[in-house]
Amino acid sequence: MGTMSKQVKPISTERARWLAAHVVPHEAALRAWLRGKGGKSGLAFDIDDVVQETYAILAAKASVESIANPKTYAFQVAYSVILQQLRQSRVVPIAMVADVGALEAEIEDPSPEQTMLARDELQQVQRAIEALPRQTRTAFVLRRVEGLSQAEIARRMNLSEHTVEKHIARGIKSLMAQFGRGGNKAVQASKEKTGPIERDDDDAQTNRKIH
Amino acid sequence: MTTTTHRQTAKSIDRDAADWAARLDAGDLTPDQENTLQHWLAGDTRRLGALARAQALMASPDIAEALAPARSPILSRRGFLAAAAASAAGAAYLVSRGEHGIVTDYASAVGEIRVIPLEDGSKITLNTDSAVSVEFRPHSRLVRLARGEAYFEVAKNPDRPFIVSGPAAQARAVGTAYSVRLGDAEHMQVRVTSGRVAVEPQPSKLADSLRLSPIADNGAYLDANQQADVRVVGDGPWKGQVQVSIKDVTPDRVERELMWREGLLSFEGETLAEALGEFSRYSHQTVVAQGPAARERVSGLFSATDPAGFARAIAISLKLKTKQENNAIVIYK
Repeated sequence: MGTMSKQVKPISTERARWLAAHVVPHEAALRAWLRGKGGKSGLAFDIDDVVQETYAILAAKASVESIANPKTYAFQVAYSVILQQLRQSRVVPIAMVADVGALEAEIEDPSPEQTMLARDELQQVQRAIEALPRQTRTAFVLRRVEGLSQAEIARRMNLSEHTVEKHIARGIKSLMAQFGRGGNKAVQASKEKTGPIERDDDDAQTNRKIH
Repeated sequence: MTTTTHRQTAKSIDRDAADWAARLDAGDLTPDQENTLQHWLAGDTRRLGALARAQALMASPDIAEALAPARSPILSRRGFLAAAAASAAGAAYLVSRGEHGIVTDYASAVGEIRVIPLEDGSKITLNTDSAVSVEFRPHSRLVRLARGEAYFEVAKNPDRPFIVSGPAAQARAVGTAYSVRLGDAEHMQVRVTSGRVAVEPQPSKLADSLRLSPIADNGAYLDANQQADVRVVGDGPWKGQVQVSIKDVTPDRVERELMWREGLLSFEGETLAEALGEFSRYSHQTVVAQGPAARERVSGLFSATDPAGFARAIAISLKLKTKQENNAIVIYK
């Protein structure tokens, strides 16, 4: 493979914090909304794909300072991602296009900008982390709660830095999977389940029963 | 543009992204790794998004707090002054402490000033109606202030920090002199006469069980002639967070406010009501000031355990009257 024309860079710590504060708290709502969209329009798009593309656009933006309402913005970006995919597939259902105008009112209305994660989401995070193997959990908590560096954790737990990195990766995977299930309650509310492809449907089912 | 035939699933991208996020979190990449990451990111637009999401989840302060349910009140990493909620978990933590060594309890009665020499050469002076428990561990000296106020003169030992914990935070030193006073349930005051004291979160249960030393970058440092007020915020967006405010106090003032060690109370322009509030800590004799008398300013040095004598002296110098009403002495104009 030759050199790429444009360098893609991982995000800065600052951008990670911005996403954590302004986008992550809305991810469950976004996923629920996407499920509803897919249901209504009878479209097939992958929610995980759309979420990844949405984060990619937010990550690549030169500046996020001008974004007054990150929630609305994230929803709009997600919507543009769907439209883009539709254009590529050359099949644009009418229901989808008609929805564009209603989009803003719909997504601005339900809740104001929220910068904290919902309590039940946090409880699910706790459960997910508690379910991890002990060493993984210890390493992850030392990193995130105690703020120790991976090198420091390796020293204290008497592990190689490589092993600690693996534990951290595992912890992140668990969080990503946990948040990937977000917004299930809203699905339950809307009856349609025909639209979007849900890869983790089994998980979603069991997850719902917990409530 | 053709879409790739073997399109990677979003889940599989997430797994790679988590690995990269962990790698980036470990430290700087080697040039080789940098290259590999570049190629990976350039291969699919979703990958940057997945990585950004992984890093955002990793950076989320909410998630970090959710992972710390066993933590008693902590100063949060969000900033210098904030800390996470107080919870019942704090109590569990205190109970478990005894596992590490022998805990000795000391208490003083109302009006009693008690000096407690410790085996390491340190000295605790307990003010009226106060209680502490002391536990010597191999790598730390722990004092839990359960009630009231105490003054600590700490024998220097850098390998064995001296830690005074209250409900909202702890004050850690290696060799210095400072006082810690508990106000109402949510207030703790730390005043330093010499040396340096760190006001910081109590370690989590986990850190405690792993015998980790306190993490120095998560607190506020107090030098001599400084005072920290630690409060749990009761309302608003910071509800439940612990707030530390630091101010300078004159050496004079520090000395004056520590006069209780000699059994004396020193006032310099406090209102009579404030002065009587102080006296109420030291005896069961109730003295109240009525009406405008409460706003009179008082100065002077008084015996902490003799509020009746104080009332007489004040009445004379401020031309006020006193009377006995039930069990209370009333000062009025």
